[in-house]
Amino acid sequence: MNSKVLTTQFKREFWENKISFLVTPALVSALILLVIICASLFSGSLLKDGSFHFTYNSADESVQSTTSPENGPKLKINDSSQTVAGAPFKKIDAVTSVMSEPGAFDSMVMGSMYVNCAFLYLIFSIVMASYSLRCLFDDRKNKDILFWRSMPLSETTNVLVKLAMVVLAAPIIMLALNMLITVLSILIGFVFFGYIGVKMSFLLASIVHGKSLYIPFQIFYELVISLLVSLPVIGFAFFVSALSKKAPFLMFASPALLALADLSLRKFFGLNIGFIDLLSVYFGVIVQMKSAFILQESFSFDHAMILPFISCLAVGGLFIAAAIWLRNNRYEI
Amino acid sequence: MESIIHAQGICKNYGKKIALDKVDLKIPAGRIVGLIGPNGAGKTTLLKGILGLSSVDGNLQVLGLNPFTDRVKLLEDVSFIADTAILPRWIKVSEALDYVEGVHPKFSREKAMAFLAKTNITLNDKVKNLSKGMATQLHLALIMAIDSKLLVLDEPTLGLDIIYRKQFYESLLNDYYDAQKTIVITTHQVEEIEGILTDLVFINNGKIILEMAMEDLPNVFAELQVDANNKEAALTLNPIHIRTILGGFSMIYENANIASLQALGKTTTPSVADLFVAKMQPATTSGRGV
Repeated sequence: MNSKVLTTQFKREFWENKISFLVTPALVSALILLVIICASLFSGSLLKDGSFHFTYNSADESVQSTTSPENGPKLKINDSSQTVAGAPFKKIDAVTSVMSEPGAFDSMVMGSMYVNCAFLYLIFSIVMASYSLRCLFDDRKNKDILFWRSMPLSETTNVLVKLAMVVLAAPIIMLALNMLITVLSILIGFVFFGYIGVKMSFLLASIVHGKSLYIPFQIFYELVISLLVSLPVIGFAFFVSALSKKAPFLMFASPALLALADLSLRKFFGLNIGFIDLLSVYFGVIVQMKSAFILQESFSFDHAMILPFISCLAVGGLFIAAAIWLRNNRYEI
Repeated sequence: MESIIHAQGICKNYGKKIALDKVDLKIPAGRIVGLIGPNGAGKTTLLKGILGLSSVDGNLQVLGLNPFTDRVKLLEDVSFIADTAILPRWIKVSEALDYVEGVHPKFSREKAMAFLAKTNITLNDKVKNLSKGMATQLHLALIMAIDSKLLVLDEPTLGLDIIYRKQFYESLLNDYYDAQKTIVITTHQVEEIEGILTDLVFINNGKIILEMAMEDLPNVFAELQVDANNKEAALTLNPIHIRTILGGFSMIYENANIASLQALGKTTTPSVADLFVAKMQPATTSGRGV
């Protein structure tokens, strides 16, 4: 297997799914960027008419800006050593003072990135769920599978590349877009705050000593971990996609029916088929590793997670192996 | 001569239905073989076995490889167009070229471009915007640009009008075929490929019922046209098939004495289509009741 073949296979996935994987996320990020630019211009006009209220909380490194025309410009710095609430400042001085706080600018940039990230999480959740369920079904349904199978490429490679689209390519796209938003937010901040007189050294120091350039990588890492923990679900979706002859989604929902049957058997006949217990164990693993799933929570791997993590990989791997077998032996609809 | 395809006693069952029943087949290099049979005869099952798309029992070797276990390696030297192997509708012509160039070590982009230059297809076209004929031209351009040793065509011209069908086979002969390449074709439009075949294989009910070089056909089969006066005499020579034609009868004979036939009427070599019907309808072989 050479890199040219693999690259081409990834290209094929992007050609086929460019709307889902590239265009939609890029549009979302472009819209977020547009909002940041508009907010900058809007807050600039508010500064002019003196109705800008700016709060930086050094405890949680948050920056909030609100408009309160009736009260005029306000600066509020919440810090254990310094509390200046409601003190009247000149409008530009207020902003300059806030931005001279070490973490202020960095927090603003991170805020922009987190907003972008939250929307991308939503978009990619839908994209990846849909992709996993149809990636091994559509070519069988459309009957172009024999064209792909006329090429010297194994189904193992084909399926694994599709899996990599979910667990690797999507996080990389998200990382790229988050980095782009971060860098552009920094540049817009430099222009905006530089224009109103904030010292560039404050802004640069804030970014250099802050987390905004590092957080997208942390999110990427957490996203990959959370996707690997989700591998039993993703693998099952791939399996269903390779197996289904009509509606993969309905087959994908079948575990819910099995859980219901398990519940009914327990309630009415005292029988335990163990399916709900299995789901509970898996849910426990997700809870154990929940910080990898939640934005703004920092995840770190510990030893207690190794066995559940490997179990998730093994179960997901079994479903993927079954999907590959189906592609080789039962591909016709 | 080296066999490109060597099948010995291959079988395939779908539940209780026997799709291939102890098939023996040898196809040498540099031949154009017509694999002909009625619907459900086992053609596609045999081709799937040859292409490694499904497993079969027995000994099957294509280019010296087991097609099912060595499919990826085999497909570097084997190309195919199946009736259902349509190009994906979302793909652009340029993307299709890039894809095949990226995954196939024996693909020549120049050859494909040269072939496409003779058509109205442009690189920015999407397959979904092409007519069926143009999509087939594109598919053929992609496949013919692969320097493969074996090309398998399963009903490649299904649904095409006569102009595209003619162009298809002309391109195949002029731009692809040479003495080093082997082509296996299945089609129901037998008369269209008759002129290009070097070998003929008939299959029915999962069994090979005829395997013969086209050049040997006149030595084995003869068609006799007789009027009503000579009908009984002609029947005594045991035709394998008889049909009524304008002004008399047409009878097909296998391994008959040509001189005896010529004494009764006009003899010719039967067309592949007529021979196919003769071999597929054993109920009329005796000619009784006609």
